[in-house]
Amino acid sequence: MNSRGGILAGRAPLLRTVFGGHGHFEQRRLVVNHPYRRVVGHKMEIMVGKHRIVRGIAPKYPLHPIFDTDKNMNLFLTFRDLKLRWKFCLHPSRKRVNIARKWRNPQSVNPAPRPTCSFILHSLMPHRSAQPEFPAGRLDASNCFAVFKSNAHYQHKVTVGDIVQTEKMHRREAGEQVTFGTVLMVGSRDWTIIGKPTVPYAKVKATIEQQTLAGETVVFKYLRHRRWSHFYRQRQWVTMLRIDEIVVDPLMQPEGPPSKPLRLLDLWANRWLYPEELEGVKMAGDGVHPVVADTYDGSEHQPGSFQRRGLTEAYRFPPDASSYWQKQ
Amino acid sequence: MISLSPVCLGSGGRIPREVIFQIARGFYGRSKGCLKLAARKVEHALFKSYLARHDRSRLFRRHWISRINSASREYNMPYAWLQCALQRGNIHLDRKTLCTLAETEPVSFKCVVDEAKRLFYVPPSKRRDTSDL
Repeated sequence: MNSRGGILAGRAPLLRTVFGGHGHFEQRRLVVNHPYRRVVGHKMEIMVGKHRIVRGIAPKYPLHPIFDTDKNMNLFLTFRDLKLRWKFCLHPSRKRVNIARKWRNPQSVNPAPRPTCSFILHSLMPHRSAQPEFPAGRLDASNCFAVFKSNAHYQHKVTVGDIVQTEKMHRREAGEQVTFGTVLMVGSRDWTIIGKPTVPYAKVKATIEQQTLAGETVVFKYLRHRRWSHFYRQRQWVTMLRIDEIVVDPLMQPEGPPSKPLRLLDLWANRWLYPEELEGVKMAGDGVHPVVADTYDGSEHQPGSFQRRGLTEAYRFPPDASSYWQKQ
Repeated sequence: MISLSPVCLGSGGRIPREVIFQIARGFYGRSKGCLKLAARKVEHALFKSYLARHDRSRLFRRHWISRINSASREYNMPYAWLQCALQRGNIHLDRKTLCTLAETEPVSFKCVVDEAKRLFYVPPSKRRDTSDL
């Protein structure tokens, strides 16, 4: 029995009884396991005589004497001269070939399919043809788990009350609440929402427990023959998050343009101004908004700068369609 | 021998003696008490641990793949087919997450496998050929 019999067990019989040509029944294999084959190229191209530097490729046979105008044919008298004339044509470089591997271009993955998500009721599994409709209102997500991205490369599967460790979040302090908008999957006892690639109306709210240095790692590198070595102690900045809430609300409004931040001058200056510098800022009549608010609309200098500063409503990372990496 | 050893080089590359004896605790024979012998062993151990830290991610990836494979094969879906279908369906769950799902959320993992089966058996629409661009 072959090794893939387990997979194919329910689908097709491995042997089939046929009426053979010799007047008796015989059993034929239906499934053939070919040996492992390594593909070295999608197309093989045979090139003649390219493996050696030659002055061009010699012709297969010498030119006809009447076309060979640059040679005096009267000089070809002996058999040896005739052989010389054929010499290049039968040169071994003609017979040698070089086989070149040609690889097909990689398949284009663009355009990507349109972002959607599928809602699956566990009572209707497996959902082959008819998919249930999305629930209208806000779902009860108290006993849910969610898979969200806390940075461009890291996915967490969490429930409410979990504590997860992420990379250090820029300009955040312990006690602040942050929202992560890139949720790849939400599931509960009765249903599952698979994001393709994300669930657009789900969010994960978390509180920053602490921003600390993680434990020490002793790093030692050496090259014996160079007599070189390097010893240091490495500590990584991390952020601990406590998950407060998982929100799944199809009625959630998409985020508009980011609101005009209060500290417009910081963005204008592209740095965080010192309190002493902010004291001298001219304020409008209400005493809250600076006069600059009429001039500068608070738009991003470069895409993603608001998210990096923590000014957006939620953190969004690829493959979310709303993350700034995905915008073309 | 110790003149060649990194422990005796400048302060940047030198392992402090306290660290050496701390790490060498429990080593065999005089390697735990004698600085000359302990230093050689500790250098080797620390360098190996440096390499192992870099290997860790690869090992984990292999582990996750094997777990996903065995879990999805219960539903007659090999790992390669699953990944192919997830790519087609634009589902970006990584291997760590899929492994965690298979261990802790079997029903949701079954949902993912069903979705993958649906996508795998449907031939994809024709892709753009970029070879002549």
